[in-house]
Amino acid sequence: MIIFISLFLLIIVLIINVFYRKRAKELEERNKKLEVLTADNAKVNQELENTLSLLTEANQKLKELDKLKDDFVSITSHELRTPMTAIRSYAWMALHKSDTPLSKNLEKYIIRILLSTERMINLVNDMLSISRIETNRIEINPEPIDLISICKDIADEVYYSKATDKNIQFVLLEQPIPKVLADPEKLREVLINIVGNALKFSHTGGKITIGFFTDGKVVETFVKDEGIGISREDLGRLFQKFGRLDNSYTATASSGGSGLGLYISKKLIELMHGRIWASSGGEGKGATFTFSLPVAV
Amino acid sequence: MKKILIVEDDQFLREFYQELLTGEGYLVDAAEDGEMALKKIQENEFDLILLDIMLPKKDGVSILRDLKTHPPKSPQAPIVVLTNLGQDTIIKECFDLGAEGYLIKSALNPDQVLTEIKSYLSKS
Repeated sequence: MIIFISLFLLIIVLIINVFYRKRAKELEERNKKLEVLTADNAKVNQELENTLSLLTEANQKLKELDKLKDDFVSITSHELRTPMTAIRSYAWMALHKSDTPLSKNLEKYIIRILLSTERMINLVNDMLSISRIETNRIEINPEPIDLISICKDIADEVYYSKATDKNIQFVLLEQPIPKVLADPEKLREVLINIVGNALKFSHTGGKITIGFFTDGKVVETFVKDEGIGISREDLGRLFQKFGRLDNSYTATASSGGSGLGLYISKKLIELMHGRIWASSGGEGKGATFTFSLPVAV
Repeated sequence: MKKILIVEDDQFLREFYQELLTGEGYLVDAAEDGEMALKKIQENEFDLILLDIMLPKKDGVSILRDLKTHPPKSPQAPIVVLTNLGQDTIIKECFDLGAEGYLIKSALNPDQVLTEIKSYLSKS
């Protein structure tokens, strides 16, 4: 009986043994697979890390390149201004301080040197403004501003500084409006640009109207001309950088601008928490530029 | 006769301002670098100083700073910065350091520069 029981137990032990061996083998195999998987995982992780560090490096390089570009624009623009100022200064001297009278032709040539140099200086100044705006190196110092008086100044300034015999009539629609909050220098820059454009694109004998709307929260200033107007498709491109270049209306008008003025104006107005937009009845029907600024409280 | 010091490193521009201002009847002295400028300001009396910012040896902002910390014995002439640098931070720094005015060369015609100079001289 004992032998029988022992035999029975032995068989059971053997069965269990076989079962466990099988299980152990399976586990071992699974372990091996896991090890392979872990190794693969580690490899993938390593690859990800490598890619990440490559991307970080590339990003850093791009940032450096971008800064180099900004510095390059800023430094070359600045360096260009000195010789250009000298050219303009001496052309002015030749025109105004010559010790012998100039012939009509010579006078015309010098005036053209002067005007072309001024265009170059304006372009370089615009490029510098953009580089400052795009690298956030521009400072806005807002203060309460009387729009009517600044508009009067600008209209006078633009009118007398541009060599124009267009005989344009300026109308300022005065009305009581609250002061707005803006940086006076930046606002001047915007107004000179917009009023200057209105004058540039007006026909001889035309009229430029400056007026205001207010709802008590913002003041809208509009500058309306009766000039060559803007086509519908060009309206959308006006405030883009170099918007003029792919823009038939200004290209045919040989505007002589840098194509950067309205882009700068938009950025400046937005920095002063305002908006700027343009409207026109179409080509030949004049244009109106309007910008809003918050009321000073 | 009013005496003006022009501090400008670009030879053509320096000579231009000299000629322009001499033609208007002013006595004009010139300095082409920052050290020479500081020496002239400390040793002479002027009615107006036109100061460039980017200069060899010592820049205009440092000159303003030096003059603020060590003012010359004789009463100092108003200093008007005449430069092509237009960064807001530099403009503010110059005014903080005692500059009377700030003119950007490329933004002004020679006759506008003259008008500005005359208005500063009438104040001094």
